Amino acid sequence: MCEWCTEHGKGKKWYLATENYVRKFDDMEDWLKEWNSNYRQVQAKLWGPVSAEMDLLKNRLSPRLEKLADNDWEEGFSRYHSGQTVTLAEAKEMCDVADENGGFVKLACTCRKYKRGGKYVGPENTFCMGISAYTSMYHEHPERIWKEHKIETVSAEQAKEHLEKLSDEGLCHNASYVGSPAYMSKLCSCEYPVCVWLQWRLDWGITGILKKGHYVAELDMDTCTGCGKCVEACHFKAINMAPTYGKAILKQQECFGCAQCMRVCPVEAIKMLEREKIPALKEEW
Amino acid sequence: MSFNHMEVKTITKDFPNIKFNMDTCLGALDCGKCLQACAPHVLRCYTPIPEGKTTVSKEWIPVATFPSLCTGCLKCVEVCPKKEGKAITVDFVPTRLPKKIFRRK
Ligand code: SF4
Ligand code: SF4
Ligand code: SF4
Ligand code: SF4
Ligand code: SF4
Repeated sequence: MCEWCTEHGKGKKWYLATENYVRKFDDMEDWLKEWNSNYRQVQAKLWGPVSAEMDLLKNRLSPRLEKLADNDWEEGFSRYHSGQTVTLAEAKEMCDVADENGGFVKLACTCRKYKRGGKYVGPENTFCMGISAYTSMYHEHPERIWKEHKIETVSAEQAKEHLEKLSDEGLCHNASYVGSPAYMSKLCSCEYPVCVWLQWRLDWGITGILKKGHYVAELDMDTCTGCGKCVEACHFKAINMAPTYGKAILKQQECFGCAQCMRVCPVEAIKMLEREKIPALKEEW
Repeated sequence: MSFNHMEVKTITKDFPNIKFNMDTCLGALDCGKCLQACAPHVLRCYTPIPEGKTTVSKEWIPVATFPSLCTGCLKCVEVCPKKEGKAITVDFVPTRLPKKIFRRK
């Protein structure tokens, strides 16, 4: 269990605990006040020109500054919007919890808009699924939501189908909160490098923006036929082909536990282990 | 034997300087061609809140978020409809970057 589960999970994983789904967007008054007053700075810091400076810092402009920036960013992300990788099965479990607590809205993906500009705002880009706090925001404060988001209310069955379809297309899923893990907000279907979370975590190593999931993949090299499908499926650069073996090699330290590789493997050579049971990785999030 | 002694040495390296000229740029919502042309996703856009307002501005401003991933392919400049107006420019300029060197004690 990660720290979010210990603090907010009530014995379950934080993204499966009903408590984190029942809170409404309106309960977040303090946080909203802070958000509103800080929005410009937050934008500049997390997404604006400052991020280019951050990139320089990450390129070791100065170890001291790098450290400062790290703390700032870790803090920044975990206070505003952050998440954790989940498997498709877990995402479907989340759908069941969300169904009883406010339901779903399907929306166009924010990151893709940020990353690709104008073209990627249409209804065909509904990769994100708003749940809990986000759904209540949609119902109670529609003015807060960008029109380009093309929001659509869906049932639990439709939500699951949608996730499954996106999974088949090769996207991996992340559960996210807004403000604190007590406020579930989205169920994302992501890819590297378009998804801001994946790129910032993988290229800058900011752990505050995306946590590794509760599972780790294990590849059985005896069963593997070396078809390479899993290498294509992994957004986290955890698998590569080893030509002299004619098989795939999986680096568990890099694995985020999205289970996409397991899904695509035609010979079931990959299985998911619980992170807790792996001594070297149980504290790696 | 330990490896934890660290030294910082300054090196000079060509580092990309990606600049947008917002006077000529059409904005990323209406155009955004540079964002779509950049394969390593160095660029992105954001919406600032205008001073004294509470709502998000309609403009989408392109910025370079990951200059360290820029390869200098200049595809972004090529596709820009406003390249005469230098809406986007990419220069590789020598930049002094302190680099960590690990030495054995
Ligand atoms: S996290 Fe992924 S799915 Fe969610 S908004 Fe970002 S890119 Fe879209
Ligand atoms: S190795 Fe498999 S489970 Fe791990 S991150 Fe890659 S695709 Fe996901
Ligand atoms: S998908 Fe399965 S069989 Fe193919 S390379 Fe990966 S582990 Fe091996
Ligand atoms: S020069 Fe190439 S890599 Fe650099 S920002 Fe432009 S398109 Fe991207
Ligand atoms: S392609 Fe040129 S005009 Fe279009 S958003 Fe980019 S810099 Fe601006």
